[in-house]
Amino acid sequence: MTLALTAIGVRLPPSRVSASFLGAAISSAYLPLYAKAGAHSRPHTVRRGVMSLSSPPYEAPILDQAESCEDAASAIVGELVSADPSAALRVRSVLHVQCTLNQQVLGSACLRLVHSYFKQPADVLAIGQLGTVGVPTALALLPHARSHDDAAALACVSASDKWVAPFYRRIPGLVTYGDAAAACLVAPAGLPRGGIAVIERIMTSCQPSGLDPWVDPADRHLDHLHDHARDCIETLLRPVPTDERRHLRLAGDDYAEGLGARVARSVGLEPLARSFPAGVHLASASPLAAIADGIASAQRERSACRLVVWTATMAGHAAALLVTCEPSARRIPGGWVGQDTDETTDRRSPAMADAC
Amino acid sequence: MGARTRPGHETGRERSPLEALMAPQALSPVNPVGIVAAAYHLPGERRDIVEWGAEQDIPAQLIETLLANGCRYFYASENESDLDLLAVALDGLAAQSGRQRVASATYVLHAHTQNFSVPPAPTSLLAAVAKAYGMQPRLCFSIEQLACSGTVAAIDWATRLLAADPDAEHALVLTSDRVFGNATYRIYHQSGVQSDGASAILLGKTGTTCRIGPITYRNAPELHMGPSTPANERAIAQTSWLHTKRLFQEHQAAIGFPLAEYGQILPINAYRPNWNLIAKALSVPPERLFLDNIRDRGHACCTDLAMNLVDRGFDVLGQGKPVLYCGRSNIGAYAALTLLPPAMAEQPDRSAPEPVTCEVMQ
Repeated sequence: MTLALTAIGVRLPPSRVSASFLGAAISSAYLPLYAKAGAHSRPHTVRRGVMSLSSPPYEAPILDQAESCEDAASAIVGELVSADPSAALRVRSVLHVQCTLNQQVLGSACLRLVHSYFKQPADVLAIGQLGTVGVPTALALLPHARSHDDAAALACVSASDKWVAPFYRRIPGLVTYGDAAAACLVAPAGLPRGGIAVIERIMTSCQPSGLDPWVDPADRHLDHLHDHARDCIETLLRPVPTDERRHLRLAGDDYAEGLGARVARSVGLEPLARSFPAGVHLASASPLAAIADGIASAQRERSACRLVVWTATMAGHAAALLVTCEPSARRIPGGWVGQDTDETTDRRSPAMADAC
Repeated sequence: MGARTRPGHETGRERSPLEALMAPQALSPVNPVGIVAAAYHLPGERRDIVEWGAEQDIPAQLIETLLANGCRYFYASENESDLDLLAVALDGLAAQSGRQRVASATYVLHAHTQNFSVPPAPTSLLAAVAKAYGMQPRLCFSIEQLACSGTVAAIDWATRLLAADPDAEHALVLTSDRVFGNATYRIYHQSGVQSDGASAILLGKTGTTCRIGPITYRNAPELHMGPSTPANERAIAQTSWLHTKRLFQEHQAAIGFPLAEYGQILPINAYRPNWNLIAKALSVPPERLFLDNIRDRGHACCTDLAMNLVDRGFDVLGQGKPVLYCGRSNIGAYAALTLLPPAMAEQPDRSAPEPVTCEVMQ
C-alpha cells in the first residue's frame, strides 16, 4: 500500500540571532511550567524563573514573538489550499503533529485547521510525544483513516514547532532546533493525477535511549541516534534489491557533528543536497522538508528522485520512509503542487511494487 | 422514547434493538476488538472542596455553587510526574492481566487534555513508558488537542490498528493528566472540579469484558481557541450542551439504538446540571446517567473513561447491557463511544484485515 503526496510546503521564519540556549522568552506563555507542578514538565536543568541561559550567539529560524506555532501551521496549510482550492473540499483527515507545546495553551491547532480550511473531516487529531517521528506516524495511520476507502479523499498532515523557554532550542554539540512548519496533502494510494511523490514504505521504531538530553554527553546521544537511524533504514531497505539501492539518496535530521553524513556512510547511500539552513534541525517539519528537497532535486535533474528519509529522536523514537519524488511538480510559494498529468503512474520498481 | 426494532432475518420475529446492534453486520469491521481490562489511579488522599476551598481562599459562594452542581471531592498529585501516575495505573492493569500481556502490546496510544501535562521536549512520555515496561510497540503516539474527547479517539485508533493487524493481539490506551496553575484552575465552569489521574486500558481480540461498538464524533471547530477569552468561554458555555445533545442524537441515528435502552450512560465527571438537561431533552431516564463520580472522584480529564468503566460500566456490561461513554471538551471536540457486552453476539469475521503500511523494526 502506498500513499501519494499531491502538495507539500515548508515554511521557515527568517533566521535570527539568539544568545540563549533556551527558546524564545515569552513571559506570559508558559508560566505554569515554572510553578510546582511544572517541575516534571520543564527541563530539570532549568530552575524556576529562568527564561534565558546565556550561549554564544547563533542563528536559527525563529518566529516572531506574536506568531504561534498554530499560526505557522495555518499559514503553510493555507498556502497549499490556495494553490488548489478544490483539494480542500476533499480533505477528510486532518492530522497535525508537534514536538513543542501550544503557545495558545488552551487551544487546538488541529481544530483550528479544520475551522479555517476544511469541511468536517472524518478524522481530526494532533499527535505528540514522538518528537520528529510524528509525521511518519501520521502517514502510517492514514491507511486506517475512516475515509481510506474513498479514492477521492485527501488527508492533510501538518507539522509545526516554536521553541519557547523553558525548553532548549540548542543543546551544545548535539542539536539546534529551528522554528518551522510544514504540511502536505496526501491521497490514499497510487500516484493520482497531479501526484508529486509516492511514499512506498514506512518504518517506525521505539528503542528508548534512557539518556538524559541535558546531562549525558553529546557523543553518547549521537551514537544512539546513529545506530537507531541506521537500523531503521536498513530494515526499511531489506526488500529493496542491491542494484536499486545504488540510486537511492538519503536525507534526514540535521544534528550536529555531521551525524547525517555518518548515517549516510553507514548505510551506503549518497546524501541529498539540503536547501534549508545548515546546522538547524527543523523538528517536526524535518521529514517533510527532506521530501520537499527530494522534489526539488527531481525538478533540477528532470527525473524521479528515489529517496530514503530518516528521523530519530534523543528519546528513542525513529522512522524511515522510502519515497519517490516526481519531477513534474509545480512550484508554489513555500512548496510544490502537482501539475495535471494524464494518467495514474507507478514509479516504484517492480520489486517494491510486489513487496508493498 | 419507544424501542425501535429491526426485522430479524432468521426467524421473522422482531429483533430487539440490542440484538440488532449486536449483530455483526451492524458493526464496523473493527468489531473483534474489545476491552480486556482497565485500571486507573488518582493520586493522594481524597480532598474535600469545602476544606480545600477555605484553605485556598476560594469564594464561599463559588464552593456553594459547586456543591449545588454535585461536586464534592477530588484528587491532586503532590509531586508525581505523568510517568509516576501512569506507572501506578499500569501496575494495576498488569496485576489484572499479567505484566507480559501488558508489555507486549503492539500498539500504545496515549491521550491527555492538560497541555502542560507531559515531560519536556525532547523527552517523551511514550519512550519512558516503553523503557520502564520493556515495550517495543509497532506504533505509539499521543493524541492531543482534543481535550477530554481524546480518549475516545485513542480507543478508536487503537481499535482500527488492532483489527487490521492479524499479528497483533493487544493494544494499550493510556491517559494521564495533571492540573497546572493556581487553585482556580481546578474549578471547571462552576460545575466541575478537576482531579489529577492516569489510566491504562488493555484492548484485545480475545478475553474481552466488552467489545468496542460504534463511535460518533462531532466537532465544533469554531471553538478551537478554547476558553482563552471571556467571549470564547461564554460561547462554549452557551453551546456545549447543545453540541453534546446533538452528538447523542447523531449517535443514536447512526446506530439505531435508543439512548434510553443503554444500561448506563457514562458522562465525563463534570457539568451535572448540563447532563440532566440533556437527559430530559432526550427523554433519557435520569438514573441512566452515571453521575456519582462527579461528586466522588472529580473530573480527571481523559482518565474519566477508565474510571467510570471500572467504577460502574463493567458491572453493567457484565449484566449484558450496553454502555455509552461521552467525551466532551471546551475546545469543540465531542465523541460518543458505545461499548457492547461480549457474550450476546456471534464472533464476527476476523479475516481479510487491511494491509498495514507501517512495519516494525525487528
